[in-house]
Amino acid sequence: MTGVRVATRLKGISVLVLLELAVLTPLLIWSIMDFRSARRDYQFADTVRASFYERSGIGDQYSLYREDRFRQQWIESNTTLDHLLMQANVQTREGLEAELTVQIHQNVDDSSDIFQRIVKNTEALKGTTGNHRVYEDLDKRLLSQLFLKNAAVHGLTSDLKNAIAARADRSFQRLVIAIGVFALILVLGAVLPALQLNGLIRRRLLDLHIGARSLTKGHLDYRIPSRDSDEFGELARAFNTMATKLETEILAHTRSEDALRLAASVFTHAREGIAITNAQGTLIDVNVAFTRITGYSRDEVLGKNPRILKSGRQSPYFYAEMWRHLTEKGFWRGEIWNRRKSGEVFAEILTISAVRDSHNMTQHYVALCSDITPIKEHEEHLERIAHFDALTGLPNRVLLSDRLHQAMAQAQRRNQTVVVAFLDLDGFKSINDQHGHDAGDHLLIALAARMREALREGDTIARLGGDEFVAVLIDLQNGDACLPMIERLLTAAAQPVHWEGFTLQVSASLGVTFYPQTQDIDADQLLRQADQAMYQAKMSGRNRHQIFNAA
Amino acid sequence: MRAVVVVLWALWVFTGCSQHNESSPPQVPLESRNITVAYTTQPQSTLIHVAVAKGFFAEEGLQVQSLLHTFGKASLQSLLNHQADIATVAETPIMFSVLKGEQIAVIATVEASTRNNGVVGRRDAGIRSAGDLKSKRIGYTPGTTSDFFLDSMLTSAGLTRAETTPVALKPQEMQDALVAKTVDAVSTWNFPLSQIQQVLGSNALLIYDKEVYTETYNVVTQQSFLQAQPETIKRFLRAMLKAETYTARNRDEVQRLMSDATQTDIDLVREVWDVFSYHVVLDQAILLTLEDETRWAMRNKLTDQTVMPDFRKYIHTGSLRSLKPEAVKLNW
Repeated sequence: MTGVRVATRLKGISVLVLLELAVLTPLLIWSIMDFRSARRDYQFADTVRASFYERSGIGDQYSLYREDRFRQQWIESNTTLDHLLMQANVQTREGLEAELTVQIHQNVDDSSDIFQRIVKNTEALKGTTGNHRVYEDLDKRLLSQLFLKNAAVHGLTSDLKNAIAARADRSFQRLVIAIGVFALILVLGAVLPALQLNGLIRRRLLDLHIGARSLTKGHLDYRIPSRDSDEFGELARAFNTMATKLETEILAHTRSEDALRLAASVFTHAREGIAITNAQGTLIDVNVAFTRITGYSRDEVLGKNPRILKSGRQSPYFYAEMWRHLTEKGFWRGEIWNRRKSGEVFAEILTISAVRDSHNMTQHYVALCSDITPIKEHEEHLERIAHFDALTGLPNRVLLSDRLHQAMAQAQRRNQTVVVAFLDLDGFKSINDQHGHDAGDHLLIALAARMREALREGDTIARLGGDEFVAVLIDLQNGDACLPMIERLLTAAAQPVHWEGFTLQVSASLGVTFYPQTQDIDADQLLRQADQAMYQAKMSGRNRHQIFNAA
Repeated sequence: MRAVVVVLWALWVFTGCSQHNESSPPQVPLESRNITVAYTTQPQSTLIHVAVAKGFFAEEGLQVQSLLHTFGKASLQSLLNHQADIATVAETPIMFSVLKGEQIAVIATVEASTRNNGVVGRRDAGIRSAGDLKSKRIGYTPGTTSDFFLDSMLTSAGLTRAETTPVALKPQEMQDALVAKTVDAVSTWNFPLSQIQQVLGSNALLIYDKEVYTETYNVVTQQSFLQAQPETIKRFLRAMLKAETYTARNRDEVQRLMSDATQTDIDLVREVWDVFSYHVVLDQAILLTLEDETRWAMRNKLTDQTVMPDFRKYIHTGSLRSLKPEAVKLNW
């Protein structure tokens, strides 16, 4: 039975029921007609019986009164009865009913004859001739026989009615049996298979139910038995396939979730600030690092444009270039100065990537930024180490050279004069010897600061090493214009410095030269000229300046 | 499958229940009983002959001893003489026996006829019609239907018995008396009625009147026997009912059977067959005829009785009603 499709079974049952109906319906109709025929016959027999009784009654009246009206009425009644009996002879079936009908007819005919004899004898009775007593005797004999015939007809009509009633009963029983058989076959042919089918469905549904419940509980490795090829088998296989796909999906989903979780974790825990915007550039998410770097909380920036971070240091051209690159290449990477919520400008290295869909339409922008301010500071520090004196913070020989070259070029362009002053402290060695290097260093730092303050913005005072300094003075119309500043330098160098209860005081010898000169000259030559002039100042008695004189 | 069995069982019970209306054969072997049945070689006794020949009595556990007579009055006499337990006889001898005070009971009518009785007259005696019987010597068997029928016949012809010369004869004497011309006519029944006609040939004139007399042939027993062995009566009647059915369905065979049993020519049997109606009943015919004949007997001083007996006491309807209610048309 297993493996037969439910639809096929249902079709089978339907065909069976239709066949039953086709076969049994005519039988049922025949039974009904047979039953109705029996009932009709019964009613007809009753009519015959009633007609006979009517005739008998009229006959009795005649017997009592011997009046002609009764005789005439009896004849009419007899005619009616005769017609009915003729009809009965035609209608009646074979067997007992036919036999009874014949007997009834016979007895009715006999009784008619007897009645006619009675009528005839009545005339004799009324007459005066003959043996009157014999007529009376004959009358009694005839009446007696008439009674017997009537009784016989009475009994026979009863029998006929009973026979027809019995036939009606049999017909009814046949009808009931036909209905019973109809119902039985219906039960056997339809209801039982339907019940069996119901059982099968329930049984098979149980498997599916258990399977579905297992799947619902998350046992995706459960498989419903699906060996049969019917609808349940198909359904079970569909369930199993679904479970397999679900299992795969869920596995993929789990992995995806892990990946998402990882991504979220990366997003959250990344040291780099991450900002995500939509295609229009509106911020839709930022991570903790972003908040840490910019000072803006997530809620403060969501829905806003990243330009709130603008520092103003980058030109509009910079941003135009950035967007052009981003649009063309899908990314941009570079360093940019931005402004924290606190207003502090900071440097960051920024990578912006466009996230595009399958149609190459930009859906989002993801920006990764790292605060590189400390790096910048370190770079500045390195630069300072390279170009500035570590003790005094004044430009060193390298920077001096650079500045000197710039000043020379500028003076050339502007037709101005550059003054180079070589300065050496007088008596510094004795400070070191007397108070130690710390005192010397302290003195150097203090004097350096004073000398720098003594100069203008744009002028440079550099330390070459030890107690040697060089000042480069620019934007001068001629050499004499530098003299006030030379004096301020000498003054500054001669000011006493207090250190741990001591007063430290030195002076400075200063050699000065100018640029340009009549002859082409380079920076080194200028420095050497100044150095020579300084030497002459020292020789001349210290704490003074000496203009280089080539002669 | 259990459901199928239950449904089939229910259907079997249902259909089975509808088939218990007819008297079914006894389920257990019956106790065998010996009875003596007095009956006649007349066609009226056909059902008894069939029941004997076809073993219907035996089926009912009745071992029947047959006591055959030529006519019913003799058969009844053997019952009255306690030579038989049951007898078959027409109503006239029954009527006379009751008037004499015999305690007998009719348990069934097994035959009825309006044409079994007749008067056969000799044409050479000048008999051309019923009216010609006037002043004629007419043979009859007193105390039998022959007696009553003759009076009915004469009445029908406008005659009285006094206008004729009745001659008492036994049935078997009639043919010879006619041939010997010691009588001009005889009132008798079949088979003698037809046999006499055959013997006389064209000289015979059959006179009958089916509108003045209905003969009944009955099964009678002593009331004491009825009370002592009611079950035997029922078995007897059950066998009679079987014989009735058998006879209706096997006309030819029963005719041959009667021919053999009564030593009567088969053609004669067939000739008179339709005269008789073989039904086991109890209806108005027996009661009414007994009373008619009683009036006749009293009027003609054939009995000392002057009061009509209540014949209902002599007709036992219970046994037949218990077996076939519709066969009993007498209600009391």
